[in-house]
Amino acid sequence: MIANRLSGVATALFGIALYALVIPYGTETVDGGLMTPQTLPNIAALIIAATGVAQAASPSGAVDLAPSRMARAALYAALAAAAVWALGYLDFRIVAPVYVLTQMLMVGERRPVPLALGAIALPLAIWAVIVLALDRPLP
Amino acid sequence: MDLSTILLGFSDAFAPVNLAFVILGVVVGQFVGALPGVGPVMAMAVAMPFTFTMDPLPAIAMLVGLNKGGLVGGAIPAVLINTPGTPDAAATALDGHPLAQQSKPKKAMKMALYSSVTGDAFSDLVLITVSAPLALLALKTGPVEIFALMVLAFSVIAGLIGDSLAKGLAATALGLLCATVGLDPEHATPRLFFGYFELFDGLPLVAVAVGVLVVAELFRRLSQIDDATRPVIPAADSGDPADARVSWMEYWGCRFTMLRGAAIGTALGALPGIGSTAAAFMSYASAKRASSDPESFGKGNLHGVAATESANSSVVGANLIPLLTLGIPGSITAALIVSALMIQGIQPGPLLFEQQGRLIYGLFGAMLMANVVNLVVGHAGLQLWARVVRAPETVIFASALLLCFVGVYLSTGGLFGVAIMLIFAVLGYLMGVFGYSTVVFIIAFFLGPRFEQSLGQALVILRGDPANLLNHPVAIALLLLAAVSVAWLLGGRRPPAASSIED
Repeated sequence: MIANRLSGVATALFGIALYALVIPYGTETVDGGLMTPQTLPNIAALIIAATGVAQAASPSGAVDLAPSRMARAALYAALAAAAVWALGYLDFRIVAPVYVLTQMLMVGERRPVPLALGAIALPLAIWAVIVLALDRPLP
Repeated sequence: MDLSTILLGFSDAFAPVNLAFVILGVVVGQFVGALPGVGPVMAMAVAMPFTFTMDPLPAIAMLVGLNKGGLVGGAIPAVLINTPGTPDAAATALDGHPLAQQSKPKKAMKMALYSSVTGDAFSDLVLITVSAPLALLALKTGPVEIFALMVLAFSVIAGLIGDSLAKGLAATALGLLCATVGLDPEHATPRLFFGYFELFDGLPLVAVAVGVLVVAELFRRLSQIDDATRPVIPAADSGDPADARVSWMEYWGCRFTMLRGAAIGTALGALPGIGSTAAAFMSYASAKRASSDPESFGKGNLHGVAATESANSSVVGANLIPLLTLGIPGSITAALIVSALMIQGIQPGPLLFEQQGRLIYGLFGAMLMANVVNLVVGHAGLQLWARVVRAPETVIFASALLLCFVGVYLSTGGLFGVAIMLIFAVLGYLMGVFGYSTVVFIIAFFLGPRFEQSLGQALVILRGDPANLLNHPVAIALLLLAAVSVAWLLGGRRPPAASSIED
């Protein structure tokens, strides 16, 4: 209940921030016309703020807060972000096996066959199909 | 539309290349459906970026094949290990798994296959029959009515998907807001691009869809794995041939159950927001009520399997009715088909029948073919799919993630799209944690540009004066209906099982 109420407060603040700060900063003011570039973004921001207030006042729906699972998900997201960053500098054939291997080890996979399948066979097969067969570039 | 276009369209579906993609879609769909936790939605989203290199018909036919195959495959883990491969198959496990425990897993899987194909074919025929006349009707509507219709669709979808109307509306608004990134259609001024010129064309549709729907789900699933080496032990066969097949008498005995299920699935599928999970449970409840032996339900009754599978599969064809006639995707699979059409430069909506008649009838032909292929592949691959259930999920999830990276990289032409995908994956994950529907978000994101265009046109037609709405009675009726549906949903009157729909 408290988490649900807090998510409503956060949503309302997000909507207000969008309306008061982000949209004015990110859009241009124009003269004329019944619709301005701000019309729909402002409507959306106001709905977000209003529904956030409603949610905070009368919480409904489920919240699935599990800090340990969320921390693990954040680790997988960080690993994926690191892989995308690395792909900007290194070849797919280097980054993909390391990324997949790290991820599988993080999950707890220790069996050699699944590890070899995921970290060697899979990236190699993807690279072969995309680059060799379809003649399209990979990073 | 003339008969020759229809016939040409249907004949396109039989072209070897199109047929090959239908078969590929069905085979991959059944494969991923059989993997617990993967399912056709994820497979469709992963495959979608790859379709941009293909011609429209094989691309769409493959996605439809994936969806249909996935629904059939989803019943296999439900029967064998009581873990539905897709949410739709949850009701199938109620009677399918008890049958497997009675050493009749093949009988249960075959009944699921036959009833799934029966329901699917029924729904496809309804789609083919009603969509063209409905599209003609839709063509007579103007921008004001279209705008009102979209408001109605948003209010219904926001209210029915997920378990909170406030959260549904917030997700809708966020989807609309994200759709406004890029050039404003009225004045062509850039909006919300924050110095990233790559965003002038808006947020890449594929990156957002794959991020929110697939990568977020993969992060969630990965974070839930406690024991990567946990063995999966499916139920064993009795060895008696009678327990491994469905006789004609058994199939025929379920005909009314299947027809009822198909009718329920088709009716619910045609309405935006109510998905196949609700259809499956409603059909199950209805079959149990109509049965002379309701106590046997939940203990291995073939009617239970027939009811759920015919209903959940019949949603597939019906889901395309609002999409093809109005351009409004009523479910996530329909939304993915919309994005595949848009990747091909095709705008969904009533004009599709006029401008792309041959393609649409080709799609209809492919859908009918996919049913036949589903039956053949499902029958032939039963043993294989039963083994797929045991595939290590660590490899499956790693493959899916890497394919998302590659697919989005190829379709957006660089790593910027992949970065956007990851940002939306985090957003999708957080939305899931706090109970905000990602399905509603993505449908609003797809419809956003059209909604803004309709709003602009409606304002011009009404000359900025809402009083002029009085000249548009249909629009008033639709807006009133939207208000009534919001009030109805606020009052807590929700259809059964709607709260758990995320399909």
